[in-house]
Amino acid sequence: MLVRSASIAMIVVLLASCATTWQESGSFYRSAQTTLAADSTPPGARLFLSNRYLGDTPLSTTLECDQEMRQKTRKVSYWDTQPGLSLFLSLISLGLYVPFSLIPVDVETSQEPSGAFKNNEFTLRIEADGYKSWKTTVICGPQPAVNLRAVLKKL
Amino acid sequence: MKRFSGILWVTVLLGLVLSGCGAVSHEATLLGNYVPEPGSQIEVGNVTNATGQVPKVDDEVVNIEQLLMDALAKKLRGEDLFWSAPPSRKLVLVSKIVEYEPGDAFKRWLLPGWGSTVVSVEGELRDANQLVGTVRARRTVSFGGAYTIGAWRTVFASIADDIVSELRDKIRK
Repeated sequence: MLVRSASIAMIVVLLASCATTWQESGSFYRSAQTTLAADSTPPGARLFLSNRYLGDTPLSTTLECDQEMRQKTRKVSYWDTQPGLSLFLSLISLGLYVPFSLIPVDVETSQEPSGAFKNNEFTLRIEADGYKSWKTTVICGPQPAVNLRAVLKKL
Repeated sequence: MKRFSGILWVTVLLGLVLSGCGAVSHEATLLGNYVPEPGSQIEVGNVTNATGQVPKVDDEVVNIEQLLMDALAKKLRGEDLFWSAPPSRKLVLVSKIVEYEPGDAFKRWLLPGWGSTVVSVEGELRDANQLVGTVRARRTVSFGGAYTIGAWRTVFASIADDIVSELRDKIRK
């Protein structure tokens, strides 16, 4: 009984540990969005985003930028990617497949954001007649939403 | 009874040997509250190779961008989703191939998982150049015999099928 339990535990450990370390396999950019909500005092001021007139405040728009995604790959055993099929192959081969199945040959991929963005800086300008122009830089990417309130000073 | 079970085993084995097996995953997400107009159709936009590699099969460079573009166009036509001209509403599907391994049928016949054919695509759906949805799909052919020769090419038809079926679910006729 003890021998059988130990064997099963050993097989489980072996099957679970058959993987190589993660390796960097390049990166790519995916679009990311940030919602910008802008308001001003006085309301009804003209809002320009990167020198393009968008409308009068208060208004809401979506900024788009490129988010870098890092890709990593590692080799894993077929038990990791296709456990059902591995079990089936082990059974129909009467166990002959088991030692070969431990060889990490299949590819597993993981993607995660690197935290880097590009094309993600936007100049925001708010203007109203009789008031000084108000300027700021809005960063797209890290946060899903940015709320701005501009208080314009009289000339 | 014995004969029946014998036939069953042979059928299962033949099925496994002749057919390609692998992992499939795909999902599409519409951003915010975007709902595509019923009857919207899709134009196949730019397809880029973001793998950082120039894939080769038998020492010949494979144009994977063109393979995916053609496969998507064919599947979209089959689903009556292919945009060719107004008046139907146009969405543009911009795709990136982020992972591609041509694989090797002989290797995966020897040992399942070895020599897997892998393709992974990230798609963006745009309406009037505004991002409105994303599609992600990954396909592998990691087990099989002679029938999987040429999977480096046919895998594009399979992944296009996955992408288009996701889009079909999101866009009402």
